[in-house]
Amino acid sequence: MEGRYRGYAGETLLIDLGSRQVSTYPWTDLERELYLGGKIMAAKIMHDIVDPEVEPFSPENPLVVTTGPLTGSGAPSSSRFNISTLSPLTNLLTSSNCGGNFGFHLKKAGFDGVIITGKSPEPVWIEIDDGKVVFHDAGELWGKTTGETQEALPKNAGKMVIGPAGENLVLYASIVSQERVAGRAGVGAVMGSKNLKAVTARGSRRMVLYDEEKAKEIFKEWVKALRGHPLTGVQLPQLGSAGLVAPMQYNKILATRNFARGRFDEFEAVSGETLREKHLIRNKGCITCPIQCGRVVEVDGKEVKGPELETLGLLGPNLENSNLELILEWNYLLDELGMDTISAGSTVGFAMELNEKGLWDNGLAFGEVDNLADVFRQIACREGIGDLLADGTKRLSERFGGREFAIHSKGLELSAYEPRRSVGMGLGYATSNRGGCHLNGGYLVLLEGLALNIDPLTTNSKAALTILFQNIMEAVSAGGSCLFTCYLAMPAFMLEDANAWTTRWINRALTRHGHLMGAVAKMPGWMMPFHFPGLWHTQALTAVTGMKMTFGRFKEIGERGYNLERMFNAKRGVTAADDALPKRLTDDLQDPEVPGSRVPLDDLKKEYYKLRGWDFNGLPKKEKLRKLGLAGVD
Amino acid sequence: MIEVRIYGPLRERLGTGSLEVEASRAGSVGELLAVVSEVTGAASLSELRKASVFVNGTNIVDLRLFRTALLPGDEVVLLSPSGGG
Repeated sequence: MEGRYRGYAGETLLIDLGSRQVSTYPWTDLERELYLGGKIMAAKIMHDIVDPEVEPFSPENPLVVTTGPLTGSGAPSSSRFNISTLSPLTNLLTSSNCGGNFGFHLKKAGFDGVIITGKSPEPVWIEIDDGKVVFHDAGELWGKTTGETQEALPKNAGKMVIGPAGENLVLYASIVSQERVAGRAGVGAVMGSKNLKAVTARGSRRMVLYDEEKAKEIFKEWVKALRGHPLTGVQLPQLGSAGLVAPMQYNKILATRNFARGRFDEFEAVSGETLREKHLIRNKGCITCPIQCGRVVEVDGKEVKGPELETLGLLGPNLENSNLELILEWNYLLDELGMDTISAGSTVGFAMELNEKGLWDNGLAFGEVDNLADVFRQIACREGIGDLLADGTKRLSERFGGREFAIHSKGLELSAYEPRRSVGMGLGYATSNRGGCHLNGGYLVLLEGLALNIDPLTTNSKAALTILFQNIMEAVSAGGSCLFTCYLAMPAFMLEDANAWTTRWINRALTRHGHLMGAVAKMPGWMMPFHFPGLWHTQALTAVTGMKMTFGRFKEIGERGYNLERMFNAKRGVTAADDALPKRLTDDLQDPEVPGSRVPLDDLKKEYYKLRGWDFNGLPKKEKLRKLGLAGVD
Repeated sequence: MIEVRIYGPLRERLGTGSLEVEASRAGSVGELLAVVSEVTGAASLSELRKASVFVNGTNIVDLRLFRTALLPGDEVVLLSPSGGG
């Protein structure tokens, strides 16, 4: 329903695929104030309409697609949309975020979100066109790749589609929009379980902003800041996220050989620099994004999306593969099949080690990768060994053993950062609500060697910093912005001079004053009534929506979202025992000569729970929920 | 010889990803950077001193910064700050 806040389309669609009934879902101004949009809005909807006993492939499991108020507002890097559902991989609430164009066009069509429940008896695709919803037979689209499917759908519409992997319920199947992917935790499999092949959206609605003149002024300055920053204006446009390969190698965090090591001797062959020098045709980016982090490369004579860091890492060093041409091919293939490159690479890496240790005779071996394209096709079709690989690392470890080196948390495979030399990232992986995700985990590796250089092995301040980053990134995502926009909060003067005494002093201070960081993490929102330098989101949200957004309020919205997701998962049985990493990462030293080169997870978790206001079992205390306006969600 | 490897935007700036410097010309990291600046002619010494520098895998902020001694066969890496996701 339309309310007093601008920047929102005003309506959220509710579609039942079983009965083909279409209605709107009530969403009030108070809920906009408390949950903003995106993944937090979706968490609240999931909390309100999903019974804790529902199974991920049940028709009762909704696919909740949401945007943020900045989506489509003209704010830079804000074409994002979010998909939340019960993950078949983790059996918990998941959220997967995507660039592409669907979110932008959904708002043009008049909707902030669309909730899809039920199951169609036959393959179907949904057309949302200027407020109207039409169901189409998808019989002829079923079996097509994501590219073929998008090609067959109406032009000039935003699209989200699945490929064969989603149709065949691969537990880490993705949803694709243009060349961007909602990759993680199997949202594409849930879409496939509903016999839903695609959703398109288009419309002519113009978004009304609260203070259009002020908003334009802020956007202009924001773009200027993004273009002038060392990360968003130089590194990401030049090298994309692939530019992280070399820094990860030298910081010893480049996951290699199923996370047995943090360095790969042949890393140069799969680095962002080699990608740029040998394969880059041009940059590409999402709508309204000045960063242009995407790579365009050539595969089989066709211009396609190049790999990002995670794909390079998990299909390269993690498999002991230095053949970049193969990674380009697989990246394209996996997107076409509609499958997460992170989980696919990690699962195959685990299977290689199972084979090596004699636990599963599957024919896969590190460094022997010529036939992996066939393996990926087998996974997408659930044929041969692909049928087992399609269930992911956790289930393979339950069947064949090797739990101590099964690289996942809560069932979700870890990203390409080896956390034994970045213990804050290790804590983030373990506590992330959606499982082993670097972004939902707070991405502390950014401070632990990549952009800043705080001590990567100390536990000091890591819990506090993790909480701060998790909460802020949660809010940024809910607003509709790309997480890369957060980088502006990294002071340019520190990035531009890694060796200056001021840089070294701040790096040291961040971990030497843990109590101060803890106090900041716990500080209530009303005590921070200002805009934080570099976090333009709060100024933009104020101008776009009319809410008086401050850093404190923004951080509190993120904290509310994080706690709400945690409570949802708690009802599905999550406790402190699930905030875990495999023993390889917590017990085995990465370097026997460096005593601290493991993740001291128990110590980190204790401090984390205390600062979060959670009990020893990792559950939010009633008082914490009450303060966040979440009384009753337990 | 001392092997110098360069990554990130700095590689684009200097126009090369690697070069070798005679150990006799570079007894310390500071001296090495002066040689790199002179040889490439693309960045001033003060600019190069702002990069993240690793000597045999260890960041010079954990060694003796620009006074870190170099020996024949050492590997020196210049990196730029990075972010991704």
